[in-house]
Parts: sequence; structure tokens; C-alpha cells
Amino acid sequence: MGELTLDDVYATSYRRLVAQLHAVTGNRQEAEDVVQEAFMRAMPRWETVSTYDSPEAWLRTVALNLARSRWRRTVRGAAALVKHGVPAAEPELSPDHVALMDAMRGLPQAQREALVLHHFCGLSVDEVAASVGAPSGTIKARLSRGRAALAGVLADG
Amino acid sequence: MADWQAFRDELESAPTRQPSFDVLRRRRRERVRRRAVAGALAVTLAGGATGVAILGEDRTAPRPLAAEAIPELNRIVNGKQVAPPKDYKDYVVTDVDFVSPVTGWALGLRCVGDACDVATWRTDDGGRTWSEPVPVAAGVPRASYADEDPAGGGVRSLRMVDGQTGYAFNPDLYVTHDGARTWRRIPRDSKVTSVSVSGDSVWFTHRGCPIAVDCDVVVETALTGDHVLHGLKVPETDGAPALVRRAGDDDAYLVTWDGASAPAAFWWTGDAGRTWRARRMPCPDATAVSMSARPERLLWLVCTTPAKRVAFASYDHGATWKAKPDPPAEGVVTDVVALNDREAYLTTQTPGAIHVYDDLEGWHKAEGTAPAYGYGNLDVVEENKLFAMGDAGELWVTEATDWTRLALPPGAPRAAATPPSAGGLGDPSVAWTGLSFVDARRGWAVGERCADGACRIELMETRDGGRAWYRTGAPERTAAAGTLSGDGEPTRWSVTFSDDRHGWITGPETFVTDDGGHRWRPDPGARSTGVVAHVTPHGDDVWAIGYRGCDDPPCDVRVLHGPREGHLIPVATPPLGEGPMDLAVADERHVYVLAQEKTVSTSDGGRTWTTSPLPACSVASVSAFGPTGLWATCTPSLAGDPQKQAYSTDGGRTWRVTDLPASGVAGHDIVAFSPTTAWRAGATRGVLLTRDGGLTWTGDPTVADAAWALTFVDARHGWLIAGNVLYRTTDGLTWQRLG
Repeated sequence: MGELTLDDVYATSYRRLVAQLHAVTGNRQEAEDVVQEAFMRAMPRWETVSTYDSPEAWLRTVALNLARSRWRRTVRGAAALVKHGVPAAEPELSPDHVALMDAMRGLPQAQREALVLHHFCGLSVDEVAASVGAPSGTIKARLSRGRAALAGVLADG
Repeated sequence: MADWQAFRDELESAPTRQPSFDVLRRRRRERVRRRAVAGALAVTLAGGATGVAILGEDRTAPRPLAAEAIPELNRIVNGKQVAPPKDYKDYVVTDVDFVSPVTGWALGLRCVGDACDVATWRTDDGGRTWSEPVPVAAGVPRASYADEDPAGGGVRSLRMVDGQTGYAFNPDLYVTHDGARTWRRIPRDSKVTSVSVSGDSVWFTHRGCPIAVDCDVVVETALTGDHVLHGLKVPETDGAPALVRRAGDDDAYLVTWDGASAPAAFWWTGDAGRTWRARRMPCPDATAVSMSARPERLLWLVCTTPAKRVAFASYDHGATWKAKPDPPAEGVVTDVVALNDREAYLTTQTPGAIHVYDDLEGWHKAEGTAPAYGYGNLDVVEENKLFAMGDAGELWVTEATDWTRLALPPGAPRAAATPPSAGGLGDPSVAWTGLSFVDARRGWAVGERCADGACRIELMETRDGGRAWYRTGAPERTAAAGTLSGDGEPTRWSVTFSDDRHGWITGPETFVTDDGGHRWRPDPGARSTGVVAHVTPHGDDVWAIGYRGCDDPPCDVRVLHGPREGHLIPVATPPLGEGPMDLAVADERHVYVLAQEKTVSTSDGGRTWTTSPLPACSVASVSAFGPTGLWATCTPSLAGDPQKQAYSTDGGRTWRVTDLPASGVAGHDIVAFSPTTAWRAGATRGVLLTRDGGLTWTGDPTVADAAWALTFVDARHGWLIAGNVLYRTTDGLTWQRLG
């Protein structure tokens, strides 16, 4: 009981979470920021979070919530973003994945989250539904629409 | 063409900034420090108390009339008024604050000449009766905001954070850490006008100069319960009247207005006051403003303008505003609370009224209230329970549409019994038998008080993890001692809450509540369920066992299932026999019933059930860890037989039964967390922990008596009763006696 420390989770899960949030946000720096923020929010709650079946899932949910919140602010600050551009360099990706990322950016946030949680994180439809607080049917619809939109760039789309 | 696997691999292997964990720790510490410095203005008190920071007098509002001019004003002292100048030898309540629908405190003054005494009273029955006064300060100057020397020690406002910690303030500042039984002064050199608490921070707002001088308001913050204050920069208010509301840990609003000299202005902070953003003020010509801010982003402004009174609502921190129907124009607004977009309350003085807004009837006067000089201090402690202070020693309360008038001290009925002590369940005349917690702080204890041949159920509630308990509603049921159970056995009532509203008291009868335990009614489904036991919530589901017809055996025993807020109904299972011994819910799909001769289980949420053998021992209690892990305690068949424990890792299909290594520790309850870790409440000796799969059990010497009602909300936070005393663990390893 209680052997798992947040440092351990940080060491083992950080990179994976950043990759998942990168896929959702389309922005590496944004992903790093929200994942680091999620870990900081876990610090005072670790006593509770550590008892969960998957502390990593909790961290991912918090990071997704943060990303959603930031996204709303970004929408309001879209003019500034257009003016100043994306502030940080993005890692170089293969052309296929650049195309996929670009196509993902064109999707509604909810569809992106559903696709990433299901295909990227390996969650079942029900688990995705529980994670984002939406009915399973809604998740299925988001996945279906998302896959349809990505059909041109995904081999299994 | 891309595929998800390759996409994931490439993103996971891409260069990533990963600061050391120590960097994150430092960043977090720095943030906590900044937030303690920053704080957020005004209010989200635990318990939902309102909190208004009037940062300076509203110089455009009518002044209170002189007490000499209207005799009845001699008794008028509410939180926003100057104390009447006459001597008043009886206490006058100036503020009221509730931390739960039943528990609250009042603060009042009595003044002769220039000297006042300050006292608090406590209620544990929703304001119907009040305790004896507890002194806060004696011989201090009158608590007039405009004239008061804050160094003089006078206070007239009260904010309780929880059952233990609270502040008396305005203009001086005192803190209590024992439920207002003792107070300690925090010396200040300025006038504290508002205290607000959210999360782990408390904000004190005050002006650093006399009211007649135009100066900006000051906000200081500290960790809750602490008195080391740090300053926070807020927008310059140029000495204008200002109002601040806090709506959660991070969100707060500041509005200022200065009549004709400058347009009213509105700011929002979303980062605990580090930065403030000016937002459009929907009523720039306001000459007075009231504001309601609740954590769910619902924000209401009520503005009095030269032309009329108007109201606006915002769901986006003031980025956009939606006009609401105009509130009544008469009187001076003293407080406003919006519960949601369709329901709001507004109080006024001169004339005094409580106005209610709903989207069907619009604004209308609260039913049952009387004309008065003024109403104020709206205090929402639950969605449907709201207090308002009247101006003549009255407390008004509503739980639906009608309002009821209660008396405040000193004229109020005196509480019949001393409130529970600050440590533990307190009342030794009650045999406590059941505990239920919904999180690390909020819980309930049920017991039975027997006197003069009659017994009745007692129910207490805690909101601080069990340090302080308050009597709350209990089912009205009395019977001769020893007869409640119907069979001469000692009654053992249990209590189970599935969330902070829905609960069951089970025993010889079943009672249900949907308001957090204030009102109980007999289980409406009792005819189909019979006597209910082993109520076990899990997520959105509740499982239980129903025993029907046991007065005339054989019993009809059923598994019961329902939503956490709904009725339990029998589900179809293989026959259970007459005496299921316990129920364990592993997750939303896996439920195990250890019945009289077999284990009955489901792995699909109750749609289908299978049977398997019982362990070869007499099971007393079972607990699940993971979907298919079960751990049971057994009682010996004969005195002197070895104690047994049973263990299954395949959902009860097979069991391993072993002798317990220590004798004399037969268990009432077991709570398992993993294949290796479990707690047992011992029948003869305290509580025991194993961390090696039951090979060894270690007792905690703190708990020496037989223990029961063992309950945990997670692996670290647990409670039990032993020797009629409550014990708690907060580290999952050691136990602490509470009281």
C-alpha cells in the first residue's frame, strides 16, 4: 500500500502523456505544459490519487481538462495567435504524421479527444465515455465522424 | 498513409522537455506561496455561506436612520449597519453563519457607553435552539465601521470555515480553531471588512485608511486557519465603494462604482488574483451594485441606476451578459444570491423584504415573510435551504417556498443539550453502531440512546473527518429498550450514504433520506424488500440484501439493487437460502453474495448470476479487491476453535482457508485493498493490518477495545468504533483516537 510515488509516475508516464496530449492539442509545448500542470495538481492530492486503479488515467483526464480550458482561451485569443504565430518549435514528424496531425487539427476538440483516447491510448468506447463524461453512443458517433474525416490520411481510417 | 500505432510511436519518441520532478515541486511551492499572497476576494465559504465584502461604505445608499428616530431600530444591527448609539444591555446579533443545514453560529454585541462585549452562540438544529453565549471579547469599543479604531478589538461579523475554524472580524480580527469555544485575536492595524475562504486559502479584505479618505482597498491572504498574512495587489479602486466576490479557488470578481464621478467597473481574476482583467460592466451608470458569484461560473449583478434597478447574468466571467427581468426598485439591496439561471433571492432594507425570482413568476416577495426594516445576510447552505437574517433578532429560513421565522439569541430557545464536543462523537449515553463516510471529511454516525426503558435512534454528522460532530435529523422511532430489533437482540443500526444526499439507516427497519440526513422517511419499498442490510454503494449503483418475512420463517432473502439516488428493488438470483452473510461489490460488474450455502455472484452487473461453493468456514464478513479477489473473515464454529480466514482470487470459484496466526481476533469486518493488504476489525482486540496476504496481522495498540463499523473511503482514510469511541486513520497505517 502506498509504494507508488508521484516521482515514479512522472518518470514512467510523462513522455506517454505528453504524446497523447500532443495528439489531442496538436502542439508539443501545449502538451508539455498541461501534463506538467497535471502533475503539479496531483501533488497535493497524491494521497488519494495514488489509490486509484490508474493514477495515469487521472493525470490524463486532468491534462485533457486543462487542454480544453486552454483551447477555449486560445479561441478567444485567436487573433493574437494569428499575429504572433505558434510560439515554440514543433518536433519534426514524418510527412504522413504531419498530414494526420493537420487533419486532426481540423476536427472538433471532442472528436479529437475521442479518437486519441480510443485509438492512441487504447481505451474502450465505454472507458472513453467515462473519461470524458459523455454517453457511449455519443463517443461512437464522434469516433465514426472523426474516422470519416481522417479517412484520406489514415491507413486504417 | 498514417496509422495510429506508428503515430503514437513517433510522438512518444519525439524530443520532449521534461524538467526534473524537483523543478515541478519548486514550481508548485512557489505557486502555493503566491496564492497565499494572492488569495481571491470574497467568498466561497465551506458550507455555502455568503460573503460580501463592502470595501468602503456605499455612500450613495441611504444612511441607517438614527436609533432615536425610530425606536424599533434599537434592535437593528445587521452586518452592514452601524450599531445603534444607545446602550443595549442585552446582546444583539449582528451576523449569522452556517456550515451545514443544521449547524451554525451567531455573533452579537452588547454595549454600554463606549464599551461592548462580543459573544457567539451555536445551533445544532438549524437555528431552533441556541447554546449559551461564548465570549469573544469584552470591553471593546463599539464596532462601528466608520468610526472604529481597529486596534480596539471590536468585531461584528463572522465566517466559519468548517466546524472548527472560523473568523470573527469587522473591524478587528479573531480566529477560532475549536468550533468557536475559544477565540484568539490576530492584531491588525486596519479594518477587516470581509473574510473569505476557498480551498486552502483565506482572503482578508480591508481598507488601510479611514473611511473618509479615498484610498484603495487592500487584500491579504493566508493559508486557512493561519494568521500569517501576505498582501495581494488588486486593481486600483480610487477610493470608490467596491465589492468583491470569490467563486472558487481561482475565480473572483471585483466591481466598483462611484456614482456620478466615474463609471462603474468590473474585473475578473481566473488565477487566484495574480492578474485581473477588466471586463465590460453591463451597468456603468450604477450607483450601487450587489453581486452573487457561485463556483459554477454563474454570476449575477444587481445594479441600482438613477433610472431603475436592473439585473444581469453571466456564464463566462463577465465576457458576455444576459439581461434578467428588472428586480423590484424599492428599498436598498443588502444581498443577492442566484442559485441558478432561473432562481435567485434578493434582500432589501428600508423597506425590508426578501424577493424571490423564478422564471415562472418573475420577481415576487417571499411567502410568509413580514414587513421589516431590513433583511440581509443570505446564507445558502444547501441548494434548497437558505437563511436570511431579519432585523429584529430574527432568523428566516426556507427549504422550498415558504419562509419560517426563528428566533436568534438572546431571546431564542436555549439548546437543551450541550453540543457535541470538538473531539469525537462526544455523547457517551449513545451506543454508536454505524459509520458511513462519502469522502475524507463528510460522514455520519448512527447509534441508539436508551433511557427510562425507551430507545431512540441518534444520528450525527461530521464535515471535518470526524473531529467535530453535529446532531442531525434522525428517524422518529422510539421503542422500549431491547425491543427494537424484534427478537430481543441488541439493536444494531447501520448507516450508509451513497453520496452527500442519499442515505439509508438500516436495522429492524429501513429509513431513507435524500437531503443529506436531515429528513428521514420509512423506506417506501419496504413491502417488497423487507428488512434491508449490507447496503453497499459503488459508483452509481447501490447493492443490498433484503430479508422479507423473517418474522414467520423461512425468510425470503433477495439481492437488492438500485441507482444511488433511487429505490432498491429485488433482482432475480439463484435462491440465497435464509441467511446471506455478507455482500461485496468489486466494481460495476462484479458483485458477490456469500449466502447460506453458496457464493452467488455476477460478472455482468446483475443480469446473470452463478453459484459457487462457500469457503469451508463460517463467514462473518467479505471484502473484494479487484474484480475477482475476495477476502473473508470467519467465525469459529466452536469456542476455542482456531480463527480462520478465507481467500479467493478467482471470484469465489475456489477458496483457500487458513488459520489466523493470532488467536482471539475474530473479525466483525474486513476491508481488503489488494492481494496483500487488508484491515480487520477484531472482536476482542482492536484493529489489525496485514501487508503480507494474511500471513501476519499486526494490531494497532491505540485501539484496545473490540472494534466494529470499520469503513474506508480510500486506502489511507478510514474510521472505526471501539469502546464507543471513534478512531481514524489518515495514513492507512496508524489510528488516532478522536475524543
